[in-house]
Amino acid sequence: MQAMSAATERQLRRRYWWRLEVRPLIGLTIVFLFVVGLSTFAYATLSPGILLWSEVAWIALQVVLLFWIAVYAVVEYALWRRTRNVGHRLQFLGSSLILFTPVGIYVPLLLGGWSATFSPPGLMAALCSMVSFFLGIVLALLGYYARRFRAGDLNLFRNLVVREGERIEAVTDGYSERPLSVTYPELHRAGAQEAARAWAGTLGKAGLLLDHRADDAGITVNPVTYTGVGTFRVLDALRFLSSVRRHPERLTWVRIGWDGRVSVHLSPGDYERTGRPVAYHALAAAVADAMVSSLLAFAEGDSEGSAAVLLGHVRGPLNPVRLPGPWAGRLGLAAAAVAALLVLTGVSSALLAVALSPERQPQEILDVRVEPPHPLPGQNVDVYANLPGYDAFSLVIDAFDAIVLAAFNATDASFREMRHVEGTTFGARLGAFPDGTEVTFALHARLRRLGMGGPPTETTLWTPPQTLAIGRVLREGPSGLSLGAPGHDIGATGNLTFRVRVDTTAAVEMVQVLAYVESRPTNLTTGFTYGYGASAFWVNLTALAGQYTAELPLFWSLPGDRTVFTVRYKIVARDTTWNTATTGLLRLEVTR
Amino acid sequence: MRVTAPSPTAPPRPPSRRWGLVLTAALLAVILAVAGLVFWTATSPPPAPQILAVSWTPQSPGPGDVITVVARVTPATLTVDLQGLSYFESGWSGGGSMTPLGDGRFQAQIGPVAEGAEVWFVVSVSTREVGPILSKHVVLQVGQVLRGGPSGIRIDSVTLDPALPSVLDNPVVTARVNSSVAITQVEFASMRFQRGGGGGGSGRAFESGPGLYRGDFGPAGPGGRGFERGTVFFYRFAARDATGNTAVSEIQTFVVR
Repeated sequence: MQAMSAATERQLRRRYWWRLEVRPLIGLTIVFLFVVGLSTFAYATLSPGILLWSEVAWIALQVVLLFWIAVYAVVEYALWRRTRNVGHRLQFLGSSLILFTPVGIYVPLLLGGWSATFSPPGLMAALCSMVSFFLGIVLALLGYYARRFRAGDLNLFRNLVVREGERIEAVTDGYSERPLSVTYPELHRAGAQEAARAWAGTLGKAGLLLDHRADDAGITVNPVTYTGVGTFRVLDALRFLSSVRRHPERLTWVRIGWDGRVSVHLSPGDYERTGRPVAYHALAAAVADAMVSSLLAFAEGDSEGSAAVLLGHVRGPLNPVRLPGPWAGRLGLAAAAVAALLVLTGVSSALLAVALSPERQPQEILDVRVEPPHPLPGQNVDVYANLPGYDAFSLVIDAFDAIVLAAFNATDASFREMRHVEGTTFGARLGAFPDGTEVTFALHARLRRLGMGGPPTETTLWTPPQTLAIGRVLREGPSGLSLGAPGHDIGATGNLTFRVRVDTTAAVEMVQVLAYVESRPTNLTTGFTYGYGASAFWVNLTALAGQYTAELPLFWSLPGDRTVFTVRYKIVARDTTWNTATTGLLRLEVTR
Repeated sequence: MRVTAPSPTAPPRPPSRRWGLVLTAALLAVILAVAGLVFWTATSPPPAPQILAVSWTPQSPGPGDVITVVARVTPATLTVDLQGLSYFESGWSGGGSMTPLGDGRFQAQIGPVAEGAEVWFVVSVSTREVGPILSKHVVLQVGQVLRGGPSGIRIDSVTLDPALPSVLDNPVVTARVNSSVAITQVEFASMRFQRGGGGGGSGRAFESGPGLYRGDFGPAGPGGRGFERGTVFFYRFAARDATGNTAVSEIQTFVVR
């Protein structure tokens, strides 16, 4: 056996680099571009049904990628905990930061809406996400490729067994399950046990040993023998981590006894990776040789030399072997601190943005109040209310009105626009009313919340009606004026006809219906509700066959449409004694 | 056995490897700096906006001309609005954001304008905290606008009710128009400028009695923001009689309480 020439080493490294790293990367890129291209094509050109498929495909791709990165992070964490190698720690931190990226962006957006996303804490969370993404890539690549964090590129492309196999020229035999045992008298030195423990720890940090277990009789080490690029290495590493925990005897291991006896077991997989039918006993002997040489070099104070033996390294001033020193540990700690700071800042900013988002405010009209609370005749009546979250980025107020139905000494059916006063407070002036007027009002808002890629969500809000008596409104007087239950139907004219029975001992002076009508036409072919209309009016009812009736004109609807009319109305009556009666505000819905 | 002794060719280890710590510290510093910048940008009030100059071409527009208005403002990142309207020969009113030309210059076009019309426009800038800040009023006559003719048309007794309108008021302006000949046209022109930008130009005039006209400012518009506190209104009446003689009232203003 002899050391390979530098040229051969470079040639082999290039070959493995191409086969294990570049080719899979190119393949992944082609698959990725194919899927994305197909999705984009479908998204841009095909029908809505296909568009849904493309969206599903795109989301699935993202989920798969995130899942893969999550698995990668878990594996790297386990590797770091087991070996204490800084490269694994950086890869764990890097993949975790990449995983955090969508959190900082989507948590404010999904839980707090656009307002949260564009608020200062939301922007901070997004900034943390972006920094995390780029820093994550840098850390992951640094941890994976930087040679300062491992003794060499042993576990990148080749393992110890493969290297030793490459060094054996004679290929004469096949695989055997039987461990090879060799005795090394050099191991009988004083302090060999302590040196062996330190050696295993140091080479673990250098990324050369996956695990080691020391007992009274010796030390067993599992060299790192999984290979491949980051993506595909994960599955291998998972398998190795599982085996080293449950069945370490199935992996390649080297047992160094304090009595100088060294046993070597090569796993079938590692043997296959040599790629040539090298004699098993020769390969196992070479591995034993390398491990013992490494240990002895370490025991004599040559840490770099102990690593160089395992790497089959051709050392020289231009090609040194360096083990990661204490500085690497400090760097890993600093990277962890920065990552934690980023994630903590990002998460807390995202949660703050969500908590402060006006879009999380309930959509309702609150705190309706009248100024003055008991208005006098001729005094302006103002109504105020709060509309929480009205200034949300994605909220559009299509209408916000006070519906006013006034009867008796003044008659009015109309609506007043609610004006923005300050903050979330809106107000409207209902007007000044004469003595003996009863005013019923309700607040009505139609809001649209813009969706994130989808259609806007429409909300209609109503407050319970409130009634104000301006001055004195006579009710339940001695004349016994009362209204029966009102009836309604749509007559031949298409208008809405109201009927009500009025009872009084005096003469009926007037009966009126005051109404606020909303209409929503829906096209019967498309099923699309395309419009909205509203009107307010009042009509006198006339006596007819013992009842009072009136027709309320409804808006026409287009042929092929179906229009739903929502009518809020009240019927009022007054007799000659000025006694009054009212039905209160009622609601009915008719379809035409 | 292969290697059992330290290699004499191994290079000496450098005494210190602090680049990792330096890199980390630099990274932290960059993160903190950018975070601070974001917070500062998002929370600090922008510099007070100023309208440095407003110019227009042609200086004396003729019939069919398009008036190009250029405003220079600072800071250059503002949204600049132009509100304008015309009376007598066209009932145009409108406005909106001016197009940025770079270097704090913004442009908008009005027209084409009709012979005999009078065009009135104002440039405004505002932020959520400051403003609206307005340019001087520009009134341009297009072609021949007869003013001070023998019919003696005049507008007087312009009254705003209530005198100090608040948010919920529906202010009404009344004016008396006198002329020795029949009055053929009375218009009420108004503009509003809101804090944070936006506004509009409109107005309606109704004859409420012989020679007595009433104007109002229309609805508050989307979100009920048209009468918010601090909104600045400008208004005037314009009238024309049967001889073609015209008169305008002074431009008057109020701020919603």
